[in-house]
Amino acid sequence: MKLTYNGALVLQALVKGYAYGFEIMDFTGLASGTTYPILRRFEKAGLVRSHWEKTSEAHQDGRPRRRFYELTEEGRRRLDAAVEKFEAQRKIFAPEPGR
Amino acid sequence: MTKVFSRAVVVVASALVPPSYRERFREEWLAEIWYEPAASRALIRSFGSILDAVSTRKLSRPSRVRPPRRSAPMPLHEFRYAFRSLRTRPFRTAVVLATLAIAIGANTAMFSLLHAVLLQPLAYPESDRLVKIEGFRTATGEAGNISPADFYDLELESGTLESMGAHGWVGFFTITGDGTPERVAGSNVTAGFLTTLGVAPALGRLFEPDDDVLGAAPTTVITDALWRRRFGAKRDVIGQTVDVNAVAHQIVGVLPPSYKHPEPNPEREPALYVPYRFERGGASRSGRFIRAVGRLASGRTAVEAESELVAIAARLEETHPDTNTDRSVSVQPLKYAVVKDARTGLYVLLGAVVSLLLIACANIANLQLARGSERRHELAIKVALGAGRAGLVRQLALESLMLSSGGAILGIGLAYAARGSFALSVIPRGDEVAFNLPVLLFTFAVSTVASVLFGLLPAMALSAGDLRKGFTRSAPRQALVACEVAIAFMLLVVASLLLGSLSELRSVAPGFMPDRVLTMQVSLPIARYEEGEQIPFYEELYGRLGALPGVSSVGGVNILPLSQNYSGDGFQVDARPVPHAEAPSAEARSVGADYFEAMGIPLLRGRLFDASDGVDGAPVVVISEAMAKRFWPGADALGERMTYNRGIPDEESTATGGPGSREVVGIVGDVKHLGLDDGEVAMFYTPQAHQPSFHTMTLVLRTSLPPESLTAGVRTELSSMDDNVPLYAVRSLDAVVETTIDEPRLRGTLLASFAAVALVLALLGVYAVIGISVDQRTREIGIRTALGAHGGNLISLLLRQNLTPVAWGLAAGVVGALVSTRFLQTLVFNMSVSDPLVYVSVASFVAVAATAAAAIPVLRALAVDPVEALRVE
Repeated sequence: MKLTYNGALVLQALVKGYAYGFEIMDFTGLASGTTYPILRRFEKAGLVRSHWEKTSEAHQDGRPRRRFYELTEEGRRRLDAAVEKFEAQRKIFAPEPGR
Repeated sequence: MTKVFSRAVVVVASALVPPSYRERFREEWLAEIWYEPAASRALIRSFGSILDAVSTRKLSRPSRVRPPRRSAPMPLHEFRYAFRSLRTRPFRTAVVLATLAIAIGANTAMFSLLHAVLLQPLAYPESDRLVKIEGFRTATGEAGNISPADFYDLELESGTLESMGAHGWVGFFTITGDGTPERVAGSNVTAGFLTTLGVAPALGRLFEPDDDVLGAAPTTVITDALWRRRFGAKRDVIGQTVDVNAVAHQIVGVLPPSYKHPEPNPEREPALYVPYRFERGGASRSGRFIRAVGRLASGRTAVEAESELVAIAARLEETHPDTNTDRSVSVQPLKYAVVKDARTGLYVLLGAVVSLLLIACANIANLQLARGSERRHELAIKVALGAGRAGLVRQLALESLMLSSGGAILGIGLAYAARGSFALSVIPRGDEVAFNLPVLLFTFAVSTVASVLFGLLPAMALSAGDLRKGFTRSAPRQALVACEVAIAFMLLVVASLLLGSLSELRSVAPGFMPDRVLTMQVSLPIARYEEGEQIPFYEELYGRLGALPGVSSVGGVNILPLSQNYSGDGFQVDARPVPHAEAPSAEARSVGADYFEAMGIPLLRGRLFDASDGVDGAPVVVISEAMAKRFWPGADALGERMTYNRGIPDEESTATGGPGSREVVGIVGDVKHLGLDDGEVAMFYTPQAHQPSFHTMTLVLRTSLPPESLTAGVRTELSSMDDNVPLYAVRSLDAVVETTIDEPRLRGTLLASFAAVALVLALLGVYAVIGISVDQRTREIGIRTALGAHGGNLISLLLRQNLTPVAWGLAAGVVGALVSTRFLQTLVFNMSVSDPLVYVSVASFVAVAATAAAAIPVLRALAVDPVEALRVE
């Protein structure tokens, strides 16, 4: 599966600890119609896994249950590869000193 | 409310997700909306659920080995097969075709109108460079005409405009000479008017600057229609003379057949133009009666022209403070100026037909889904024989396309047949409606979109479903019904608002009694009746007409109420004079004989005009109640004096107290002036004998007979007095009032018809979906009945379960209507667009109608013998 720029943003959000839809969207600035399909694809491809929080916890806070997402090993590996790629690109585009 | 709608979007989207996953999906998305505090952002986010649902659906589909791609074009036999398949179900095919024909026909008709009015350029060369220049009061923003002197200054100083021209109010001219005297619409123009529009003469020439100077020989340019009708389309008409208002005018040119006056008015399309022949440098600056057009210099825009002309107007304000204080000009593209009043109404109607199309598509999609279940055997056999799924989808798509093409052809036919049924000429440019290439392309696009809309869902259902089980899920069908109900509800609300507003307009008392009154215009040529000479003529005419059998009273007025004409004039309250530039203005009318009795305008206090108010009588005035309240607030206006100098020689007119000073002798009721939705207008009336400058009067005859039956008698009396004076614009006063609501009536009628069709389609949808659901539960119903379930309980159970989508639809419809009707306020008179009574009554009506539609299949199912029902597989 090809990792898009938006996909990398979502992975980056997860690695930084933003764990559910609303938070991820706020962090990445992506629309809901982009974020969720990406999460679905990643889950199917094994890059992320999800679990639902306990009903009692949500009820304690007086809000609906949250579905939390986290990176799998494979997801972390793909993110590292993407970060490496972006780093390399950044070097290419950086102005050369003294010229 | 917005959050409720957002939740509804999520629920609808979740219907697309596989059942095993649906609950979780819905829960996660509803939480999503819960977390978002801003309602509008929650709504935007909720639309993301649709994308998510589509993507989830794709992912959850089992992966398959793709069959080899067939690149060959669709073989002919597939068309034949699709055609045969439609033919085997003639009733259903006919229903689908009829639904599509109505929806596509309505869209075609409405687009042809929209294209003619809003999209098509005006019929002048490079018409996008034409602009309209209007004057306005800077204090109030009240738009109006400009004065000839200001026009010449603007024309002289403007650099952004290549040329300018002006025309006047389109009035009526009497042409005599060969043949009978004829009253034709016409207008005075400046020499540059026709050339600015870019018109090329069909014969002869247009006006030249020399034709438009004081003392120039009178000339005229006539239209193609007048040339054909009156002059037999003879080419030697150029150079001939024709008497216009009893003055010989030389015909110098004939306009091309395509020519149209830039201010469309079906009752006043000019047949000829005559130059103003103003005195340059001496033209009036205080009389604002001309309408200007301009042609932008190459590369210039209307905005640039406006800022330039506004600067010139500001300079004129400084140099002519007595007349130009508080006056400026605005510049608009001519096309925008012509159609701006019709825009909102047209967009509303377009919205209505698009909604109608959506309902039609939802309905057909529903039928196809139901049919998908029925066809499972046929399709399963095809798969068993080696047909790929792609082939099946293609087969269904082909059927959809054939249906939509058939619907499009029938729809164009319907639209074409109905084109004469509505008086479209009440809309500016409405007479330019044509079925041309852009309209046909639009219809083609609409039918293609329709086939995708109603073919997509069934095809998706088919490609995802297990053919052996068939497609039995009801969620998408219920979502479709909810959408249909929502759209139908919105259309019904809009239609109710427009019809309610129309009835409000109808119930407005115009201030006079319009039944059994005949009105008609008479115009005495100035050339034969010197100023003042027409007074005895009219007095004799009033006397003769009053003696006609059945006539109870006769009067005359220079401008009839609601006749789309006006004449605001400045005056002074003698007790409180103000500088000339600040003088108040009111609508001035000159009335003869028993005008107030004939119109049925009530006298509130004082007296009406009588025999003592003849030519030699003391100057008097009768004022309207609104005028009394506005200019003599808290005091008695009776016996007060006001100065109104019209008709008084310039050297004698004074600010107050001169011969124009008149005593207020009576106060009468207010009358509606430009439209029934107008507020109360200050108006004053002077006796016709004191205003010798009016040669054209509208006669008003109150009668006990059908008004039109008097026409012949009036004509005979008039021609026995002067054979060369034509009688025209003969109408009952009722008809005059009705004309003012032509446009709201057309809009209301069209929208009500669309809403009615939409409701019928939505009810059919409810009926079909519940029918299918009940059929599928026949066995269960049988068991329940056999176990002794009570009929009433079963009915309420089935209705409760099946009417949920209707309730959802109504909820979504209420939100949609509250949002969309905000744009309607300008079209609605004396009502609020969110009138709770309208919403509650429409919702109750839809709920009752939907329950009735749902009850039919439920009752039918209960009537089945339980033993029979149990045998059903």
